[in-house]
Amino acid sequence: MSRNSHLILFVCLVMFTAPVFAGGHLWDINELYSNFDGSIQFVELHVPMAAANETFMNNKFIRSLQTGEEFLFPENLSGSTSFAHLLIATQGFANLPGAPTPDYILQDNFMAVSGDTITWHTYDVWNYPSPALPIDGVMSIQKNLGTGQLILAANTPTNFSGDTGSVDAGGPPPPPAAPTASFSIDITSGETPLDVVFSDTSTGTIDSWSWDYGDNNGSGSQNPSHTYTSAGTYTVTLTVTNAGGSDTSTCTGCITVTDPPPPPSPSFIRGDANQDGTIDITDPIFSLTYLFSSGPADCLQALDANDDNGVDLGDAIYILTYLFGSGPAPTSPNPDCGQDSTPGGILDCTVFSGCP
Amino acid sequence: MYGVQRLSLIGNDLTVWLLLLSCLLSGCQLGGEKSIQYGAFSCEGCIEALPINGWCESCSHGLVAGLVIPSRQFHEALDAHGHEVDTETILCNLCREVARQDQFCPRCRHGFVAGQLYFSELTWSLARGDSAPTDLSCSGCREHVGGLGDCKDCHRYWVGTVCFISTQDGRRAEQQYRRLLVALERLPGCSECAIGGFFGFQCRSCATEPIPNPLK
Repeated sequence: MSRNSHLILFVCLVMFTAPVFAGGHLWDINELYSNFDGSIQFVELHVPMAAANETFMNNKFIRSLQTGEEFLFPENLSGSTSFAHLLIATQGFANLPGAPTPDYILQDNFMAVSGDTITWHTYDVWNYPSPALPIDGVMSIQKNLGTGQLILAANTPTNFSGDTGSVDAGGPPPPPAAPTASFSIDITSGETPLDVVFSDTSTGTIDSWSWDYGDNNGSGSQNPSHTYTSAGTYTVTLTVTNAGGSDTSTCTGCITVTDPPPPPSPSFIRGDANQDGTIDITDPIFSLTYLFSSGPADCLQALDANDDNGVDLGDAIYILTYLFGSGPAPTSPNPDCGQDSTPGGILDCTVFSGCP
Repeated sequence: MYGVQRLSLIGNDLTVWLLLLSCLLSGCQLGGEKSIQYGAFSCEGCIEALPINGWCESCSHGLVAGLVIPSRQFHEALDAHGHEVDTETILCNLCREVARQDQFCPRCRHGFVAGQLYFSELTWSLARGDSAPTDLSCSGCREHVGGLGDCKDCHRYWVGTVCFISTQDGRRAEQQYRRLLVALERLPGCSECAIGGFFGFQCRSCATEPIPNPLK
């Protein structure tokens, strides 16, 4: 045998007996599991073929895009990786009955429950929801290894030793009972502006309050106050809500708001048009000046000598007839100062200087 | 077949076998790479690393199709050589099918050439060519080697130091080669932008988008 032949033989012997190292490329994400609050989770990797040497895992990472958490493999593996599984799980998972021993411990809340992107180094990535991560304590997201589709199925965590099992971490706690809405109001009627304090008397756990004051205003406070600025009758509604539902209490027409009465007119003397304290010839002249020359008049009620709720030529004639004929005196208030004994009409009296 | 063609280039040169052995012992699972002297690389380590897309310890960089990969992490992630697996044991139905046809499985992102598995579309498409061929007697090829394009003289398509008989194969490899160039441009700023982006992931730190595949 030639020297070269010996060398080739040696090379061949080494090739078939030396350990052949490979990377960790052929590991894929195989299963993701979480309970409702993220305290019990696992990530399972898998080599989906006969590849015995996918052992170079040191410093390779599993990451959550949503939480920013990262798991780093602390070492390379030893042993065949053909069709092997790796189980990286939280301590809470490890404590559950029926759970296979995790190969590595994962920090709690590694994955976001509502939605996340889980990346296995540069080799694999899973996104959820689609399907959503189930949180009923039993189901997990798994890969159909034949089709590559992600499916939901009962969890089957398996570790590197091949130990497998299934866990039930329990589902989320039931939502609280819906609250019962009720409220009280410190005042139910009054003149504008009416300040009202509303007090919540609802029962049960309440996450939010929603008040409707009935005048297109409202509040989200528990015990709000509100000022009604317009007259009217208002219906007040309170809706209270928690995770279990909501309830509404309505008080129909329970607040009545009225406008305040007009201020009282000043005392006056009917027929004393010029407000000098007596009825004489100057009064019909004042009325005629008011009527035909746009003269000033602060108290039209005084000009209304005949008390017909209007100021016209008849009032001047009424006074003249009273002064120079046999006509009656103007009605009350006359001759003393006083309020109109027959209120109504549209005549105004803002100032009357003829009374003390 | 491509693998047979590559193996045929090895010939009976014992130094080549020793090179193959050294690569095996240094952590590479090889299948049919060859030795070649390329003038562009004077470093002995680079000459050895070039045809196998390996890592040059002397210069502390890796090579993929003649491109210098300055990050060991990136070079390891590319893992630009074939891997011996029993393709009939792969659980993915599509992988088993495409492995029989030396194609690429888009579902698992694994490619297959001559029964060997490649971890990315880049390394698979490059494996369909002839890496750093010995015969550079064609003057057109000597101009194109290390670059991109078609040799008009012998109608071979060059993607870096990889030569393709099929223009279609060459252009497919060129797409991935250009994506690698984009990644290498990102590398000095953020390695995750480069590595993650090349493999289709958004950068966690910079929120940089993945490098499109194919490039727009």
